[in-house]
Amino acid sequence: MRILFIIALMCASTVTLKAQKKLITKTGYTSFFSSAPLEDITAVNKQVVAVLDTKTGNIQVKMLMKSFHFEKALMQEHFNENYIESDKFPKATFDGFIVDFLEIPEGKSEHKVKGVLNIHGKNKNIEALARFQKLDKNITISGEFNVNVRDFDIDIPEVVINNISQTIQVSVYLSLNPY
Amino acid sequence: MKKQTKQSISIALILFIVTIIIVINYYNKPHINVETESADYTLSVQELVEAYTIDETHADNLYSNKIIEVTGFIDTSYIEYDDLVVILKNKKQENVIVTCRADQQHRINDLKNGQLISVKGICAGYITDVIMTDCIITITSNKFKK
Repeated sequence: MRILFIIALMCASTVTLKAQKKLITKTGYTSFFSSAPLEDITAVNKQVVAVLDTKTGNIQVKMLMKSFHFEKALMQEHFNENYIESDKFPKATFDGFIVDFLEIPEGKSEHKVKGVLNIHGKNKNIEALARFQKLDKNITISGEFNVNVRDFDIDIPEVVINNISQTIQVSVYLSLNPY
Repeated sequence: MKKQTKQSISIALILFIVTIIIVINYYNKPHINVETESADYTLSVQELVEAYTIDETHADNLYSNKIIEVTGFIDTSYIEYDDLVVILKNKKQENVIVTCRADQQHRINDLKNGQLISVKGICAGYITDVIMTDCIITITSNKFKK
């Protein structure tokens, strides 16, 4: 009886361990690109935190807006102070999941990812096709999607309308390892 | 053309050129050079992490977007996306994640896990750890964590 109880306990703990299989990165990569008639603007953030639950397919991403690096200091200043107001809204988050998730197979695969993107204190549902690559215990996720600045209540003044695009292309690359 | 008119045109032209130069310089102003600027705050990893875990808003008001110099023991250091990344270990779960300036990449050869170092850079804020960007390694010591 006692042995049966121990076996049951071991099985239960294995299930719990499996259910909590999470992969994490604290140095994920996100960039955005704006193409406007007068100039192209790129900004890069290499300190993105992301967690993937390989049992449920849930994905959570967090980043600091002040970690975005621009080529020009003035652009970075305007981005933080005038557009994104990073003192008031310091973080951007994504809370989502892999659609029709069963598992992430070994090697390359593509999955649709859906979720809520929060930038500048505003939520927006987004959906994008992401590329996954599983190699042993490491999983990389990469993908691109577009966001419209108006969806996040970001005001682009008329005077710089030819410098900043209303639609921004966002690229993500996350290399996740066991927690 | 009258001498006075000629003078007025010359002054207007000079003013125009000076304005253009000022605007171009302002548009292309360089990023803050943490090497030449002095630190707004000098503190330990424990002090910095504690400030953020106790009151994130207050800590952001103090340190966010400021140049800070932080001293602590290296948990690990590695190169990622061509940048030197150093994790400074705190006693608790939260650490300080330091991303260095591109020209600091070669300093990885000077760094060992457990070594006491100081870094100077810009504090970006806190997610699961305190994040520092554009950093330079200011001091590497022979002290190691026991």
